[in-house]
Order: sequence, then structure tokens, then C-alpha cells
Amino acid sequence: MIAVDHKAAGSRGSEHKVIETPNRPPAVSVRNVAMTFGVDEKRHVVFENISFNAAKGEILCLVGASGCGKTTLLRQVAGLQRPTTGEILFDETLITGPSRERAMVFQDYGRALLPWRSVRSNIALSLEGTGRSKEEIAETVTRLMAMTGLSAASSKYPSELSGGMQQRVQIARCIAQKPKLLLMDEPFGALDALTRQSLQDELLSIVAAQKITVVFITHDLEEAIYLGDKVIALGANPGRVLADLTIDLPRPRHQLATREEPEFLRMRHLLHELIVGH
Amino acid sequence: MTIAMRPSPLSAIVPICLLLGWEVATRTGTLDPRIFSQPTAIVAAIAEAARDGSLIQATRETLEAAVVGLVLGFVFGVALGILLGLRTGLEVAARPTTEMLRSIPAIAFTPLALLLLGFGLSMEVAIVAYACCWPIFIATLTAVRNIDPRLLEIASVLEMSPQRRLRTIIAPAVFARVVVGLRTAIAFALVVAVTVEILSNPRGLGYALIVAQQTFRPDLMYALIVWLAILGAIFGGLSKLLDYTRIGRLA
Amino acid sequence: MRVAMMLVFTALMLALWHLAVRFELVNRTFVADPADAIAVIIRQIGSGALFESILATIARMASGWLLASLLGILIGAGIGSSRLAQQVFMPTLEALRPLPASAVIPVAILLLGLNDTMSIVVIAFGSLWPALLATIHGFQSVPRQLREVGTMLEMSRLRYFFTISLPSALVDIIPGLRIGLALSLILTVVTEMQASLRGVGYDIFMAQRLYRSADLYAGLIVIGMIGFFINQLLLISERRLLPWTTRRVH
Repeated sequence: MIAVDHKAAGSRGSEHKVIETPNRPPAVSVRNVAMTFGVDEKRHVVFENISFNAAKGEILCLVGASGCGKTTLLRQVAGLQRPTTGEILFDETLITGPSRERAMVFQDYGRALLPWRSVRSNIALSLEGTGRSKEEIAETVTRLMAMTGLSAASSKYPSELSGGMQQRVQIARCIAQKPKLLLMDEPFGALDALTRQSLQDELLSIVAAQKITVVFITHDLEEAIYLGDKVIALGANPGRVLADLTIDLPRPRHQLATREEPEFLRMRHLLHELIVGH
Repeated sequence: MTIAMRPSPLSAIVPICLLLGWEVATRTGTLDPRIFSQPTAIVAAIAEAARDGSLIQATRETLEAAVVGLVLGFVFGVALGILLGLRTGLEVAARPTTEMLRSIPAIAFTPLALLLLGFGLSMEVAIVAYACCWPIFIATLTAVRNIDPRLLEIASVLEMSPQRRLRTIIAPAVFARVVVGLRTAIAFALVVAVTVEILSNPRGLGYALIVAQQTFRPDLMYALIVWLAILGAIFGGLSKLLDYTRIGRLA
Repeated sequence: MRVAMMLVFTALMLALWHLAVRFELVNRTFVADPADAIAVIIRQIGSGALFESILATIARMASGWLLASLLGILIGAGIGSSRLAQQVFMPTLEALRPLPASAVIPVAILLLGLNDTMSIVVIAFGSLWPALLATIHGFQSVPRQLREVGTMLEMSRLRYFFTISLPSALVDIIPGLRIGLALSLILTVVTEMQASLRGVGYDIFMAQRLYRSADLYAGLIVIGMIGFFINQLLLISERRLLPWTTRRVH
């Protein structure tokens, strides 16, 4: 897991700053969404009154303690589940099911890769059946492997890779399908601290280069602030929005410098108060 | 391998259609009743066999062979597994012999057992024991192999006697895996006993089955098959009782 | 070193066996000298009789097993990928499963007579269960995440079947087929003995009838060899077909 960080650092110059244009419609619009089970006295509310927007090209982080329904919410944005009430729009269209425009990076990378396929062909999976020629697919996959530091592992099986490398494969597979929206469910939660940091930086540079909108779930407050343009703090029992914060930190971000900025620390205190503090 | 059963009214469709279709077809003559018998006749035959004691007698004979064979196979399999599991060199040297013996289907020994022991309980027990000892041997061997070497080191440091080592370290560590082997062996025991009886041994349910076929009693033949399926299910249930986790918690 | 140890041990066992017979510690009528058994095998190789028996046994076993595997995978894929089919068929299958395969021999004889068709039907019936149940299990237990990867990529049913569910189920199917093959060898021997069909099982049976113990032991050695080599062959193909299950670093 060495020799990755400098690669990410080298490409960090290409990161862009999202310019807020109030007139432009948001990429993702979650409108008064609720998820409940049962009726009357037996009614159990997972979350309710959830509303937020993510602008095009923005990284929006959902952060909250376990039990606030953040994974369910993300699956609803993916179209894998439907909310009980309320609506979720993507590009001003109601989400009714999954779509290739929206890619999902699952939390347990070990189970989301096809164990019988090599790294190369796992990435190629999302390009198959789209009418592209074999050469075209091979060329795209090669480029993506170079971008995610997987070139050397090209013919290995997922079981032969470390957790960090497996998660890189999943990210590369999602990027390969050229999504407009990338949904990530605690993608780095199970990784060690150093691997997590390099993957955070790699993600930032890839997303910036591809201009993809990201909805990112984490329970790590610092990760949310470090990655996000926007952080939505969720409370639990029932799940609800506690705060909708804009992160005003300069990009490109830096693992040491950014985390030492007064604004970073202020956000961290604020979020800590909101989520852990009571 | 277990597949969860989903109780649902739909589940009744297949058996009801099969049974009704069978009954109607044999009554109208579409299926030859001398070969297929009628479900109602089969039920009558099983009731009669139960009443006159022949079913119970045959069941007792088969179960006797299955259970005694299983116990013998278990003892032998565990002993061999522990011996070869602890003596790695010996296990490697003996591997061609054990692999060869293991590859011979137990049933193929029927003529030999007949030659050596003659008809009766003992030859059937011997074949059941042979069939049952292999899964238990393999399970015990792997279990002993996979004992944490640190546990054995502790035993050496504490200068335990071989008996003490067996009782305090090896047995508990091996137990859970051996139970898995035992479950396979339980499944073998009944099948092998019945097969030996079908092939040659004039006793038990297998023999009753072949006699029913040869004396043109299809009703009794199907009745015995149904009874064997029920017995098989009981054996399967017994082996599920030995569930790994439950035993694991007890141990 | 390992090979030398194996050779020494095997030779030692054969020598002990040989000496026990030589010094009449066991009855010669019942326990043959291993040297005699091997002589029988060599003689049968010379006359071509051994080859014929082995071929007949393997042909019978392979036909039954292939039929069972094909049916098992087809039906299993159908049942395993549909919840409705599981609700309709599983309880019936569960009820039939504990039936000892050999118990259908009398039925098969009654229906088909004492011939090769009967034998193959019995073999197929017996080895169908492991193939079928393993396939159903394999299709049932496709991980949720993989199913959702298919959904997210908007795969067609056909593409999903060939790229996700079938390869995922192979991990269960192939060991099921291997168990089925072991069962089919057993049932081949049983039906050969029961219906007097040419093959190694019948040779063993006849050797006992004629009190030719050397022939009997020779037959057992041959059947053991068949079982051993076939199992090895399947283990090798299992490793070939499922390379990702054996290559593991972490």
C-alpha cells in the first residue's frame, strides 16, 4: 500500500472549486422523504422530514450515528428502495428505479466484486453489453487501472488483494460506467487509517477530473468535512436532518494542512456537538 | 447443506396433484396398477404391515445394523484420526493406503463380507462401520491437524501426560469438527444398511423391499419406500440435532 | 522423502498381508494373497477382460452421472432463481431427499427390467439429488451485493444469469457434482451386482459366488483405483474451473 499517495498528490492540481449558482437546478434533490414501517401504534419511523440538495459536481457527505437510516437513504437515491413518502429527484426527474447514470460503491467491497473475475474484467463488467467494442473496453479499463493504481494487479483475483485495493477496483468499476452521480456507502470505513487517507485523496482527484456529483456516507466526522462541499448531519431515532453545513475549505485539500485549518476545527466541534454531544 | 423451507399453501400443490393424478391414473388403468399400485392401497399396505408386526421387525433389524455399525465406525474413525493426526510422518506414509481404501465404495465389500462373515447382522454391521468410519476419520484428522500449535506447546510446558493432553487439550478442540463428520456418517448408516439388505442380506427393510417386488406386491413395495423416506427424514433430523453450534455451546 | 515414506509403508502393509496369508494366520479361502490378487489383475489386463469391465462400469456410471448433472443444473437453476418455484417445489423435494437412493432399485426393476436402462436410471436418480440441491443452494445464495450490482447496471435477465448468478452458483454446483459422482460409482456397483450387468461390480460378485478370493480382492483393488482416479480428476477440474477459490493471499 505504499507508492500511492504521491500519485494522488500529483494530480491534485486538477481539482476544481464548485461555484454555487443559485439558479441552476440541483443534481440531487431529496424532498421531505420519510421511511416508516407498520401503521398506527406499531408504526416505526426510520427517518422523516429529510430534505436536502446536492449541486452538480458537488461532494455531499451524509454523516450520522448508526441507526439514523443513512444507508437506507442512499439506497433510495440509488433507486434500490423507494421512500414511504416524499420524493427524490435526479436531474429534475423522479427516481423510480436504478439507472446506469447512478453508480453505487458498496460498503463491503469483499462481496461487491465478482470473485471469479480478475481485476481487469471486474472493471470491464460495467462496460459490457453497452455496444462498445472489445478494444474500446480494454483501452478504457487500462486507463482506469492506471488512474486508480491497479495496473500491477490487473490479472489478480479480488481474493488476492488487500481491502484498499479491492475498494479501488469497485471505484474504478463505478467510474467506468461514466455515472453522473456516485453513491458511496461508508466506502473506507473498514480500511486502516493510512489507506483511508490515500483513497480519500484519490477519490477527490478522480471526482474532480470527471466532474461527478457524489453522495458519500460516513460515520467519521473528519472524513465528512475533509471530503465534502456540504455536510448533512443526521440524528437518530428517528432519523432526521440536524444541520445542513457548507464546508468553506479551499481545494485542493491536504491531509495535514486542511485538517489544521481553523475552519476545519470549527466544523469538527460543531458536528461533534450536534451528533455526539447530546 | 440445508435449504430453508418456506411454508406456504403453494407447497401443497405438487404433492396433492401427484397423489390425485396417481390415484386416478391407476384406477382408470392409464397406469398399470400391477406396477404402480394406488396411493390408497399403499396406505392400506403400510397399515397392515404395521399391524402384523413385520414392519416393526424389519425396521428393528435394519436400525440395529445401522446403529451398531455407526458406533463401531465412529470409534474406529476417531481412533485412527487421532493417531494419524498426531503422527504427521505416519499419516503421510499411510496416505496411499488410506486413500486407496477410502476410494472403495463400502458396498463393493458386500461379497467379501459375505465370504468372511456369512449372512446376518455381523456382515451388515461391518459394511456400515466401514462406510461410516471414513467421514469421521477425515473430520478427526483435520480437526487434530488444526489444533492451535500453541495449545500443544502449553501442554508441553505444563509437562502433561498423554492421557491428560488428550482429555484437556485435544478432545475439546476436536469435538466440534468431529460432530460434522458424524452428521455425514449418520446419513450414510441407514442408506448403506438398506443397500446391503437389498443386495444380498436376507433381513431388514431392504430385503422386505426386494421380496415385495419379487412377489408382485407393489403396494407393499411403495409402502416400504415411503416408510424408508420417513426413517431417512428421522435420521436427518437426528443429525441436525447434533448441530455444530449447539454442541459447540455445550462443549 | 514423502514419496519414499509412502512407498515403504505401502510395501510394509502388503508384506504383512502377504506373510499373514503365507503362514496361514488367516484362511486362504477367505483372504487372498496380495501377490495372487495382483497376478489376477495382470492376467486380466493381458486378456483384455479387465479393460472391458472397467469400460462397461465407467460408461454406465458416466451416463447416469451426466444425465443427473445436466438435469440437476437445469432444474436447480430454475428453482433456485425463482422464489415462487421454491415455494411450490422445495417441500416436495425436501420430503423425497431422505429416501435412500438404492430403495428405488426394486421400482426400477419392476418398471424397466434387469438391464442397462434400469441401472442408468437408478444411477441418475441417486446422483441427481446432490447436483440438484447444490445448484438450488448456489442460485439461492448469490450475495445480495452482487444481485444489486446487476440491478445497478440494468442487466437483462439473460446477461444477469450468465455474468452473475451462474458463475456465483458454480462454487456450490461443482462440489455437488463431485458428490454425485461418488454416489454414481456406488450405485453402478450395486446395480451391476443386482442385475448381473457386465462390469467390475459384477466381477466382484461372481468371484464371491465361485469362491475365487484372489479375483475378489483384484476387483476391489480395481474399483478402488477407479474411485480414486475419478475423484482426483474432478478435484483437478474443480481447481481449473474455480481458480479464484484456491488463489488466496490475504
